[in-house]
Amino acid sequence: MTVLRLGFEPLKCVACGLCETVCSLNRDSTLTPMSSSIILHVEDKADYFGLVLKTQDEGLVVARPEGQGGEQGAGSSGPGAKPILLREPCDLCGGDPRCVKVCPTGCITVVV
Amino acid sequence: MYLCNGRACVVDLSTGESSEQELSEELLMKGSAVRLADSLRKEHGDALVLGTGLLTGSLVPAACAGLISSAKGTMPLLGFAGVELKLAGFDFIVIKGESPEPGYLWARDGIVEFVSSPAMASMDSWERTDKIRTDQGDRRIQVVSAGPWGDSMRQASSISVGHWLGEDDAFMGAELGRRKLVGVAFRGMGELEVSDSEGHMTASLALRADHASRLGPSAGLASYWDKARDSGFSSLLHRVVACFGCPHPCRSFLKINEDPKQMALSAKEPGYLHFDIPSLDAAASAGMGSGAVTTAFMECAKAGADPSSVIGAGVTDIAGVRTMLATGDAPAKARASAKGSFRSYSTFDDCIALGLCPRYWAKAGLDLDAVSECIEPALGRGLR
Repeated sequence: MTVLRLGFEPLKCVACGLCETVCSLNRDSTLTPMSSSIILHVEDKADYFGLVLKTQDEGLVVARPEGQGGEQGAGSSGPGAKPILLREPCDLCGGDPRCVKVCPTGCITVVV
Repeated sequence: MYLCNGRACVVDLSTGESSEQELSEELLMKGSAVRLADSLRKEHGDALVLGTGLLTGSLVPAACAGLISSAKGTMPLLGFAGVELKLAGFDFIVIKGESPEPGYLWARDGIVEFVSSPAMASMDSWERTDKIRTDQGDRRIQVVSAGPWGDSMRQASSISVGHWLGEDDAFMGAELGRRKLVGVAFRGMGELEVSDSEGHMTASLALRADHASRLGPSAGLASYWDKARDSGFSSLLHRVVACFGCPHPCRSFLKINEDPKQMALSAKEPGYLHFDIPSLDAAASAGMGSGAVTTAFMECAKAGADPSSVIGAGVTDIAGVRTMLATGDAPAKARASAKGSFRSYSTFDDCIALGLCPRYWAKAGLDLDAVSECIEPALGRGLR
């Protein structure tokens, strides 16, 4: 069985927020970043931004501008937002991830 | 109601009272946010109105725009301000009266409250944004603020969105200052319903692909302003940043306080996010280099001063900028018609009315029929 996962090239990210907005469409017909499995982490004054993905098997995958890695217990857009650890993990939208489709820069890809 | 909340929040700063005003689907679906904001402003006694367009927050390319409207005019709110405002639960926030003491409005989850904060009156706009985010515990809170120039109602006071200036050609800063508002903050934790999500996404991606085939690769601000290709500018380039949903961003961050190639989180204030073409042109005409311009814009943003007005008053170096910010007042320099300003694009009004970025759509070519096809699956109806 082929195992798919998401891969990231964080320096391609422009922080447009589309990935975290369309993730919710997999579960219902709403646009919202609050139920997404992928979130944008932004420190705008420092121009530091990247992506955090909650996965089924690898915990959190943190795509920082300085490199990608796994990390547990971190990765939130802020305590005021729904922490990503409370969210559903990515199910790759059943094999055709919407975040990959909608990313305008190719920052997010499907990796076999 | 698809893509909208169907309500405005009306806040009276003088009495501390707030109420909700229902907005009908028929009214919102007209896609004329500018006229609706103007109507709400007049209905509520020369109020200050923040709002969103019908398409704000949708998957239509660059559907990022909100607006702020007063008797001085209407200016766009870009970045993530429009979408966060709509996801906070309101299509419009109407601000009446004057607060008895300095403070900010804080909107989220369908709630708007006034947070008294006299200590913030002595802060610059960056400190205000940072403090509100820290106090409310969320670094993605959007803050519209004006800084000391707004507080003292100077002519060229300019509103910043987050940390960045550049959209305020109506010099709206004084509108916050005269109401003793140190800022308006909002964070979107809600959701927008759409009728046919797959259809909306498919149509939006098809339209975006059509644009991409004509626009070519994105180069950040250099895609919109040729001087950004100069070595002085490009040598300081850190990263390109998009507003919500924009596939062809116009925002380039220049780092001056650390190596632009530094990717790890390091300096707290390493530089500035440039997209204010009229001010960049003014600085170039004054002979200021990219490093000096970046320093000048950072300091103008903190003060809440319009950089094109400050530089347009005859300033030619950073020392002059600092003197002007500390002691002077620059006459508000007409920037609405300046080349590259958001309002200079012929489709500005249509774009702001709908919630679209005027700059992206001027470049891509605004075709309302194509936009209508794109949004029809989301709304269950077209625009016209």
